Amino acid sequence: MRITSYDKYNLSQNRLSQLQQYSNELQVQITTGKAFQKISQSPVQANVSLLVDSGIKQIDQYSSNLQDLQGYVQTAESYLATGVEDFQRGLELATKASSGTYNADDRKSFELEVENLIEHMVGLGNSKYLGKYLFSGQSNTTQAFSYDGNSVTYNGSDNVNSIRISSSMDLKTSVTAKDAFQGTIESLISLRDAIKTGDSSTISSAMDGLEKSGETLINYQSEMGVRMNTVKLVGDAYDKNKLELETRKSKAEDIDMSEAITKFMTAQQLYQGSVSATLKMYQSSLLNFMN
Amino acid sequence: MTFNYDISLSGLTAAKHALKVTQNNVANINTEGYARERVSLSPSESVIGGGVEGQIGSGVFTEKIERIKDDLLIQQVRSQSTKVSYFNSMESGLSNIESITGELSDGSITNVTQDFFNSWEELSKYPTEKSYREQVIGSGKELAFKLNTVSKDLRVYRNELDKKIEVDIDSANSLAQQIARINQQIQNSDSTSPNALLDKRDYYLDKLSEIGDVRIVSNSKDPNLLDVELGGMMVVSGTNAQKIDGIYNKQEDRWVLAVGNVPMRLKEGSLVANLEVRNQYIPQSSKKIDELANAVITNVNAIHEQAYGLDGSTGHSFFVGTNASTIKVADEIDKNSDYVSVSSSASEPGNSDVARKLADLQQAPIMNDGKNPVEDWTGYVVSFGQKLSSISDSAEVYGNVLNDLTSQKQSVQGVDLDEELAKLMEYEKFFQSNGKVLQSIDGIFKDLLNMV
Repeated sequence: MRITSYDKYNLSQNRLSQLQQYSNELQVQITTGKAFQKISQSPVQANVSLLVDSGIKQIDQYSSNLQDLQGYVQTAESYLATGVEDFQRGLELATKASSGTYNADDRKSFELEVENLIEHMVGLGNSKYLGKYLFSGQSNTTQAFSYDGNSVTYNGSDNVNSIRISSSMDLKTSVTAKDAFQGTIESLISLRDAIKTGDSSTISSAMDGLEKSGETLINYQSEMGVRMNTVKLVGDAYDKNKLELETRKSKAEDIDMSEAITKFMTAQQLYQGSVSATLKMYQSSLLNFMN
Repeated sequence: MTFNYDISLSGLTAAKHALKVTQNNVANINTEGYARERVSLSPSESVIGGGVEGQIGSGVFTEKIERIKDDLLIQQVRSQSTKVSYFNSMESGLSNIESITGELSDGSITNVTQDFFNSWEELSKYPTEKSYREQVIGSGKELAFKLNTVSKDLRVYRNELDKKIEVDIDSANSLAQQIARINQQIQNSDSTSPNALLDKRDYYLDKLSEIGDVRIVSNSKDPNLLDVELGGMMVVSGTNAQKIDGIYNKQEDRWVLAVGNVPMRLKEGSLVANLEVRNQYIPQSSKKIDELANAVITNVNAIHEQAYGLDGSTGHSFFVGTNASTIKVADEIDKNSDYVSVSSSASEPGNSDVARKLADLQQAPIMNDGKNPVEDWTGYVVSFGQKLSSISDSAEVYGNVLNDLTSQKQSVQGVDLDEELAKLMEYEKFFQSNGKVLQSIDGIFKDLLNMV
């Protein structure tokens, strides 16, 4: 084929610019670590990476939900545990009071201590978490209990807010004070009144009532424990799942660094070779031999 | 037996022609579309007479100056360059749209949409916290801003393309006029092959081929003139050029090209690519993003309006607007985060059923095709990316073919400097030797005269 000046100059220019473009692409890949910057550079991989991304985002949201739920449940559990201790003390006092070995003065002091327990437990029902009433259900800006010395009234809502921990699973953040504490408080009130009467059979029946309602309190405490366990199990599953997804994402979008660098070096050498070959070719011309 | 100066003189003239042609070739070494020229020499016929005298020729004459070219290759390069300029323009148009929609980077539409819906999920955990309410408003504003920006950028790009299309039409018109004018000059010139004019006409035809698909036929009345069809319509007929009109149909929001009110059917070329991007891909992308905005507005509002705010009030719209360019967080919500409504009961501000319902919209089939909003959008951008990717591939493939063809065409008609320099030396010797011969003949005449 006849080679013209067009070929000599323009084509070698074209080839050089193609090589430069290729090196540039590789350089961007090396500096970003990503195989593509735009979807059109690799639609199939980009699609995988977008899908995986939205999966990871979903898991991140659920993990953050789990953490928040854990905060709620842990706090509720510790208040319930204190409540259980109060209940057990009340039971002890009831046992003592029902036995005939204590006199009226002793009973008076039992009565006062039960009163203390009542007030403490009302206080537990009115506990706050992050500035909001923890046991008032969805009316978390309203104080749960009001107590006038004779009876305790629940002012909150019957519904408890939930947090979603997977697409199909909600867990309640807490319980209502009505469910958890009210029965025990009422039993303590009857116990206090029974101790006041000094009649041991009245005290015994009040003690039975306390035992029964205390059971509920203990049940709620252990339910919180179960919830915390669920949180941990689900959280572990998410961590594993996320790791898998991130591996897939990395496979889809990350470059093989050593391969890219090798390619880049090759391209650079090709470029240098082309430049010196081109220069050599430009140098040889008949012009050099004419005078 | 007679001697004369004429034979050598004809050699000198021929050498002069040859040198001039070489000069012209070297001068045009960088001229686009120039076809190299060669002198074609021919021996002069013998003088009439018998015997040996009649067998000796009477010198040389320059038959013609030949333009060396291959019409088939020229035609192939032209149709290939129509293809290449179509794919190149397409590629640049679609890349622009891809950059505008800007998926894969931080703050992409996918990201802000997911963030917006997740902010409801966050709020569902602390429904009475002001900071979480502000977060929802912030994410809503970010989503609205992103949609506004993309929609605006698409509009701006559409206007740029409108200008580009006008420029393309103008240059097509001016090229058609130039070709008609050259036809006129060819008709007027008395030369049978006005090489410079032919080069120029080829050059303009090359340029016109980049804009649209060109078909060239010889004029029926004067075969030296060329008629040119662009997109199936005659735009140059002999010495007349027809005007190409770009008509913008506002109702359908598209451009139509016509010659004398008859619509053109352009198949390839930069103009077609720009028209396709302008008429098809930009409206398609705008429509998709409007659909997304509209689905978000309607569905979020429908749920939000039923719910109760922190102060127990209800019926608040979260967004105002109907599409991507008008979407905006409602002013009253922006001013007072208490109006962010997530409770299903007026008296229980700690209820957050509705916040979860709003977060669920992210996974809900609220788009026209029964997909969820993020899925629908990423599906669109990925299929768009696929289209662009295949166009980039075609641009590269056809570009390489064009390079090969151009190089072949150049190998026929291009000027090679070394070759011309060699010719220059050859013709220089040609001239000098004829001069020498003339000198000898002159000497012979002198000798003859001295004999007297």
